[in-house]
Amino acid sequence: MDTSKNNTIIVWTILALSVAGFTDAVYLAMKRIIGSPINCFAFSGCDTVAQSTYSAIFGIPLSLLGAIFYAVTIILITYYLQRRTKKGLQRVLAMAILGGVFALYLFALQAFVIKAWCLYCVISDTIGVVTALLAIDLWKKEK
Amino acid sequence: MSKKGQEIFIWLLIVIGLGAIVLGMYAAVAKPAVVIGDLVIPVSSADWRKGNENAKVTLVEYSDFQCPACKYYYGIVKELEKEKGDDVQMVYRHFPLQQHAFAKTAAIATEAAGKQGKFWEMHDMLFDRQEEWSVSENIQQSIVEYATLIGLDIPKFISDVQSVDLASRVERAITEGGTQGIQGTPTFFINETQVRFQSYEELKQLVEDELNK
Repeated sequence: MDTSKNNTIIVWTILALSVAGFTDAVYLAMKRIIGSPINCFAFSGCDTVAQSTYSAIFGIPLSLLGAIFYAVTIILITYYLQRRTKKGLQRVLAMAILGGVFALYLFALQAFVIKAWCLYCVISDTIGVVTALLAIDLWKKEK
Repeated sequence: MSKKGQEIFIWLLIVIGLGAIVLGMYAAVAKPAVVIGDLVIPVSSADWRKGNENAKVTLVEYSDFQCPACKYYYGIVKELEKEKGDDVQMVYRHFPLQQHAFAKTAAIATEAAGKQGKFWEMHDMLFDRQEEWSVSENIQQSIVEYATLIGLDIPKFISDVQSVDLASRVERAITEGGTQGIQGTPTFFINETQVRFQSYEELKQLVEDELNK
């Protein structure tokens, strides 16, 4: 497979992952904003993570920031798919790295500070890290 | 379609697509919470009760000592007790969830403390120190330590904790919670009606509304 086709697949994968990430983050944000009060459920565990004091920065839920992050990534990727400029790719890369680093921080927070995991947070964080790695890979190949 | 037209079309698709996701998630989350109906098992002398027995308002809680949300609500209920203890009767019903490894043991420990008239002391102790014993490597030791701190007769406490009688009492409470349709903890009822609140102010309002009825 030639490089440019391979790279196109990477770009589309990042786009698809970002849409998945957006869906996941919107779900978490909605749950946080309009959902029921905190509870432990017989089948789905406790909302320990999503309701912890670490789940918001200056009163803004992280899930909401996550949704905005993925929406911006989707916009940047679409723009890049249309124009294919180096600057466009740079923006995607910068955004993806920002997201990836933040996702790693959130992983660490769950593992070492809150000592609890939340499925939808883990999904979002994984997408963030994978997106960053793919963007770095793409950047190296396009350079 | 011109290139420009195509681009506009794609942006429109993205806006509609993301909007649809937001609406879809809203619909998924906003669906009304499961209504589990009125209190099935009336409050009786078989319950762990606190406060004014003849109060106009009874707050029934189905709870799990190892559940972090229950610990959060423990603080709220405590505040109610301080401020309106004379107007309200508080009832605690066990509903230890399966995912909490020590929840049943903790429930049995409160029952054993209850046999020495110190159910609520153990109840408070377990919530206050939830973070400690939840990750304990020796739960029995932690519980005996708490029993010592609240001044229980330890040999009696140990033999009670091991008794089949108390274990089956907790099992019965779980079955009764199932009959009530409890799906998560904590679940609260004011008199016969299920209530939801997130803060002390909200609970206080609910209690006052009931008092003024």
